[in-house]
Amino acid sequence: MGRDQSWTVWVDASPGPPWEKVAREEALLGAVAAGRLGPVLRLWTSGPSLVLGRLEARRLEQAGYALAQMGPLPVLVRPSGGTAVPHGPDDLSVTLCYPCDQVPAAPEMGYRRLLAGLVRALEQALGLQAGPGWAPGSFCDGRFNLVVGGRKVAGTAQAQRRGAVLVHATVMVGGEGRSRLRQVAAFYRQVGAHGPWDEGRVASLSELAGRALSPQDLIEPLVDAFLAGWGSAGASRTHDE
Amino acid sequence: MNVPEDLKYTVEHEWIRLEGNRATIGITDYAQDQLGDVVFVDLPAVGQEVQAGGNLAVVESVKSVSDVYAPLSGRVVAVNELLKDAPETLNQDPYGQGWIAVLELTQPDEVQGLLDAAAYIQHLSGA
Repeated sequence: MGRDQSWTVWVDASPGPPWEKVAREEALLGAVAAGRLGPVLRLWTSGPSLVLGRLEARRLEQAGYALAQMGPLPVLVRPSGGTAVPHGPDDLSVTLCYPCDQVPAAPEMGYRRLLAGLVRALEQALGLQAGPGWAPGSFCDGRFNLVVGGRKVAGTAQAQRRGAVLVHATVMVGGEGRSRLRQVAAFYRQVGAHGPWDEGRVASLSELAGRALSPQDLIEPLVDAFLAGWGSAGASRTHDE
Repeated sequence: MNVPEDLKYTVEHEWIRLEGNRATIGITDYAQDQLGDVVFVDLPAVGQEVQAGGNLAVVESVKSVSDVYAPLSGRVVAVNELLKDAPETLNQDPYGQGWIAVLELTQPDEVQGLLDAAAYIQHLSGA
């Protein structure tokens, strides 16, 4: 990371249209890449939607699918990679966006930085032992998933732009993991893809902790965990801008 | 890190093979190594006009999407269709079969701003 080392913590948990919430990721990446912002931790919620990676959307559009007309959830596009990920009121998304003078940079570095805070928060707040790993049969699978006992609780993806890296995760906090998997499976059936899916490889934090949790329950533990990891680098904080 | 002597380079890790008024463009061995296993390459359209420093292509690896920038201004006259079906070629042979596009240059003087192999190696040493 280069330039400004002072992080801004942006808690963006107010209601808002999903397209706007997702579009803020692109705007954030552009602002950091242009040097208008230093590094930012964004914690954000969104409404029901299905969010595709930039090139997954491109691939489907090239295959002739009109994403805007597919349902039942609104289909949105994020600036990062990977396949479809459901968002909803039981999910909390976590974004790190920071200046980077040398791109392409090894993606692993960004993922490690993001996962470190998530792992620390889950351990301290919920006593869950999480780590990176594949979860075959889950949606948007990858080796930098956040998994607990082999079950995916969050997926991660990344975008690198001249001057900045954005890496984000969507954490399944409330509800059931399998309901999200079914949403993704239903979407891909429309484009002729049929898995394989494995409902046993996804779980929400509520399911794993054995009690009802909401995204709000995780915001402070996550802020604390990231700030602790950054040590004396310092941070300022904004809400719902 | 492989840096062929006969190519030109940019600080953003593209390589350029100049042949008359045409430039074949790809990403360097360093770039492909940083990206990891490439799974998708979004190529420009033949006929598309690009400006130096603007977007030329997009690559995805490890669920990470990275832009590839045009090192020179020009019109795209060929793209490497092989990368659509075999994007891993970009990792396996970055300076050969992993080329991305050929430009017909519209601002040939821009080549003066490119790095030679020695300068690129020096740049890498500070990366």
